[in-house]
Amino acid sequence: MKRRDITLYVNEEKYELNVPVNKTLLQVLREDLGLMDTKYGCGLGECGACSVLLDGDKAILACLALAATMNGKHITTVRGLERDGELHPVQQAFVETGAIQCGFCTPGMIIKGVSMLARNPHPDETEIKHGLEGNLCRCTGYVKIIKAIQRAGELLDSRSSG
Amino acid sequence: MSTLVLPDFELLLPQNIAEAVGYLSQYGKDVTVMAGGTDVLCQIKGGLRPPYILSLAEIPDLDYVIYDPSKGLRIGAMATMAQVVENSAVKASYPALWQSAAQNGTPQTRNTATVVGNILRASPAGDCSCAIMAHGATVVLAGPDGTREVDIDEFWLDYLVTARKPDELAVEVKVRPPKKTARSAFSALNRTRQDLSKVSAAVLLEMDGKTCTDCRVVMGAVAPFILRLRGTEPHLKGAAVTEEVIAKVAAFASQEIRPIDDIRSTAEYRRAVCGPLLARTIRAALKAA
Amino acid sequence: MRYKLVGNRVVKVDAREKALGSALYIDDIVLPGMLYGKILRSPYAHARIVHIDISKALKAPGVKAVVTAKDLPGKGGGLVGPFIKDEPIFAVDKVRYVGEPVAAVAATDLAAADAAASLIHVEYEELPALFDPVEAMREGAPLIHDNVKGYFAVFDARRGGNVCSHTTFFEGDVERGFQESHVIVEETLRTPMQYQAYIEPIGAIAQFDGAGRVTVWSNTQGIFVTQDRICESLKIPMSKIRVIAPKIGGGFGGKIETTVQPHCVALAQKTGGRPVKIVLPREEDISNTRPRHPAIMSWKMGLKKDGTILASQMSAIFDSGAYADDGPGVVAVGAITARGPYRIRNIRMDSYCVYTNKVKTGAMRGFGNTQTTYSRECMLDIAARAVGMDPLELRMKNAIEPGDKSVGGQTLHSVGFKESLTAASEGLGWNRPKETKYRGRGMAGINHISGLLTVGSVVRLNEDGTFTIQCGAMDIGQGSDTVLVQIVAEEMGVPMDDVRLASGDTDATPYTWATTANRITYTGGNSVLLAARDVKRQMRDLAAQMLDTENLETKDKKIFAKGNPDKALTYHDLGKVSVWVKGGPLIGKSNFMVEEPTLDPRCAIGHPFGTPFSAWIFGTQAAEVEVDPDTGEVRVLKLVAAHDVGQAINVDGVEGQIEGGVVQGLGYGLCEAVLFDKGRITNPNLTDYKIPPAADVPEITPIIIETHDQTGPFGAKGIGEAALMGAAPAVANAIFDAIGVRVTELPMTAEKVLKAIQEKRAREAKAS
Repeated sequence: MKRRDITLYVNEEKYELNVPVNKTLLQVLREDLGLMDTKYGCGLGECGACSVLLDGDKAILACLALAATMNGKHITTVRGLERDGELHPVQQAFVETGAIQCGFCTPGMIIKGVSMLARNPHPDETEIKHGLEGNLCRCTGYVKIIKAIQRAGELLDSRSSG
Repeated sequence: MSTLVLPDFELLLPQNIAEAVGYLSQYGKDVTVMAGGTDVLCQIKGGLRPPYILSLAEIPDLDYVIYDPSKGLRIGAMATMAQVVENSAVKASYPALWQSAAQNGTPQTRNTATVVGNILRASPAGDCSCAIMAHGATVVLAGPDGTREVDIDEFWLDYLVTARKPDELAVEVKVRPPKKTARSAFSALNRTRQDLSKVSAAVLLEMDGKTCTDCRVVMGAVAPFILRLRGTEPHLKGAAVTEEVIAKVAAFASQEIRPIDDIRSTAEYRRAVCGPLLARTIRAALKAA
Repeated sequence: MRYKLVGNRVVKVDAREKALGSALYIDDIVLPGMLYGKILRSPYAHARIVHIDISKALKAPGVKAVVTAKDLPGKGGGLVGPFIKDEPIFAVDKVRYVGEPVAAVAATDLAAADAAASLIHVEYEELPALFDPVEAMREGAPLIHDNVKGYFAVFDARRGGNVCSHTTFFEGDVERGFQESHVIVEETLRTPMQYQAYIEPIGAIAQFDGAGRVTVWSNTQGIFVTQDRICESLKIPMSKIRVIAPKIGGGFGGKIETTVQPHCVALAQKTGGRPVKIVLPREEDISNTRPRHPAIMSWKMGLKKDGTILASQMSAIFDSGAYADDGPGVVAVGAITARGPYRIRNIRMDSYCVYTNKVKTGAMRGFGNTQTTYSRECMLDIAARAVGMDPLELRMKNAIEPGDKSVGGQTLHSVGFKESLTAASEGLGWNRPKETKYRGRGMAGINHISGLLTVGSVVRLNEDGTFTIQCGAMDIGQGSDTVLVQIVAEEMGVPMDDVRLASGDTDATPYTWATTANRITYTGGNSVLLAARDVKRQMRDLAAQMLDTENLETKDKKIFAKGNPDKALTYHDLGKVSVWVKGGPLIGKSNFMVEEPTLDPRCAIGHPFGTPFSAWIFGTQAAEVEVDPDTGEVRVLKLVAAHDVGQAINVDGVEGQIEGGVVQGLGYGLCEAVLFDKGRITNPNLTDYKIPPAADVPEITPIIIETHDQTGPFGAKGIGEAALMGAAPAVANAIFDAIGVRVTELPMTAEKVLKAIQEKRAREAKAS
């Protein structure tokens, strides 16, 4: 086939699309759905700027996924994390800790943060550094990003207990 | 084309194995099989122009990781490296495989990339492939006339060439059940911590006290395919594993490998570090309880 | 001094929108009818263009425009370049590097543009190519530019053959200095081509309106630079060009000079008003933009037995690639900063900018100083070992102090260098016993400027009592928007939310050169501070008029007669009446530039610095490493970076710049290099152009030293570029300390380190 009808759930909204088979999920998100928060940085899976969540908490790369093979899948992008104007704890932590400079890696970093904390709610610095593999930042040197993820863990703790 | 835009191709989306095999029989060498897709899409962005891409994404029940102490480990064609890493049986019984999967690629690619895909790619630098060979395994291929199994020792024939026939689909890898006395480990050197390996090693040692009764010594990125060091193994097999023996093994290994210069490293460097890396891997295997 | 906002950690003004994913970058802008552009590039490093046939491309599906040099006014349009105008935007008679633009296509989608570009047939006649600047300087080498002296230059560049420029700074008498020295050390050190590797690739959109005006959106660090280059290359009047910058995803110098903007405009001229977008895929960005100049630096230093450095001499060859771009500036900055933060009376620094048939090199964080700091700081350690002195002691002994002068005679009012030496070495534990045999420690001293040229700005009291700043300075992620808002908010005594910065539009924001040269906090900060003081004065005058007294006090957004706080005028009140009482909102303005001359022309030949430098900044970075003697791998365990920034405005911002700069410096030192095979780049992707991932980052300790420069806004100077310069030499020196080998060519890969270890072992075996 050269085109395919697919259903995609993105940020809890249902989209019915007809896509060329050679379009990546990243292209469909940006070009067909107008969702610009997921970025292109390298196209080959190194920078992680195109990271999105599959099924709520699994980070995958939108630039290395064919949209036509994603029929029925549930995707969350960074703009799907906010609730009624309130930042998700991971977003809030990035804002508070000075972990955002140019901001281009930020959506991917936040997605990675959500995914990491879903599996390991209290990661130490070494675990975060290894968990950040696949997300490159050129501005911050990662130091405050690591602090942000630790802070996010604290915020998520207080959110679930409070 | 570029890393922004993919070229044209026909997508084949079989709903079961028989359909997949049917497509392979029909289109043969014109088909590139895509499991997780991270590697195939990188190849396409790098210039590969397959007329057909056969995606396994919609074939159900291929994503299993099943361990049985007597039968071994069965990894389905769509089982991801993340699934392998999250599997406690793998971590306990197949340390080399677990370690290789834990560092192959990045967390995002591991959520999509498959172990079987890594084996079929036949890259001489494939981390999971290196560990799988150390453990010993067979690749299960489904073809028009039924399934057959090929021992991993006979699976990689040449650079990027496997024993799979164009009309066959790899559906599973069966990793041998480890003996209770087996020790294994995987390690690699790379340019930065987020990188393909520039040289890697995986060992499986069957131990009787301090003596190694049998072993499989495997290295990656030192030959046109994952290399089993059959010339080096006899120096370890039957020996008490002392630092002297490790040094001897290391020296033989550095002569047995056939490294080249490439973008990641040089033949000279690979030959120089082969011994130390292998020694490190043997020590790591023995250290783990 | 304790301030309410300045000197604190504040949340950046753009943090929330970036966390939400709603910040708009160039590729997020989609306009109705938009077309996509693709540049066709030369596959040869040096070749004559015999013939270009675009006929098939014109007929290809979806194509709306095809351009080559022939479509530009005159012979291939105007030549561009900041110092020397030698670069056409499309190759005219010949191509000078693999990747040079030869043609461009605009089509309805990117795939169609890609396909059409490949249908353009270009016939080339290959010419002998030069890839080594030393070869290019030889007598009789093939000429890359037929007549370098024929190009317009803004200074006397002393050029000829394949030499684009030659700058020399000298003070005292180096020959005499060497004669008086007890010990002389010499070495040649090499640095690679480093790529900025901003995570957001370069892009632009151009659209003409019905009146023949073009609007260009681009992630440029210099909207006014972009405006000028489009004007020069396409001969479009400045009044008909508007450049707007959206959010920028990192720059590090790579997004200043010409990359794709004029090509977008050239295409847009032919599309009947439809906008044309070019956003580079990563492989094109790495290969065809403006990476850092590789350099070969030959040093000679002479010192007394007691460690006093008497003479320092450097001859440096910088590889400019095919065009000048920022080259003349880079080599000059590299030369004038090469002496370093040390009292050395006799110096001679010669810097050559040389053409080769490789991608043109340009500005990258440090701008020549990164290269010379690396080599100089290695030399200082070599010198220290030669006289048996601790490298920290040698630096301390020769360190400059407040009141000393920079090369060229600029008085340095605030100098926190010695403090940074102490802070970095103590922070690292310089004299602690080492935990294992293969651990080592090393350090590097840093000096840099904090800007030059002008910044204009306007601060307006809005009718509702809030403030708007208009300033053309671009925030490329370093946080300048936040700093400028902080400065004005502090000065006006209001919360940051009451101040809005409008920037990045050549139609609407006053001129500033660009975000580069470490300059926005100092020159931009001074500018907005002066404009804020201007509007503050006017507010006071208006209040005095309305309250009928000069005896006023300001507090909490209110102005009142001293002792009479109940009869106060709020800023809002002043804003409300200003139109009818004063004729309009109160508007303060400034056009700031440093005035005190900073360079005695008698100590310089062939330099482009017609205007003064700002205050100088200083720092020390110290690293501890562990070397694996069997594999040559270097693990950086800890890095302490102490920087004299004058006064931190946003503490999180300064720390973030230090931390980010350190990691870029570690990449420069250990793993980054653009690799070539005869002019063709062999690692044009982030898979093989390795930048440090988080897992490789050591423990980094940023230390802020505040010397409160009297000329800076609230005493501030700068930090951005200096932060990158220390890591590579500190690590190089630490490796020597650990294992006694010095790799003199960056990056210090495991391959090179292991080879050096093996050679040392072989030498020692021979000797015994």
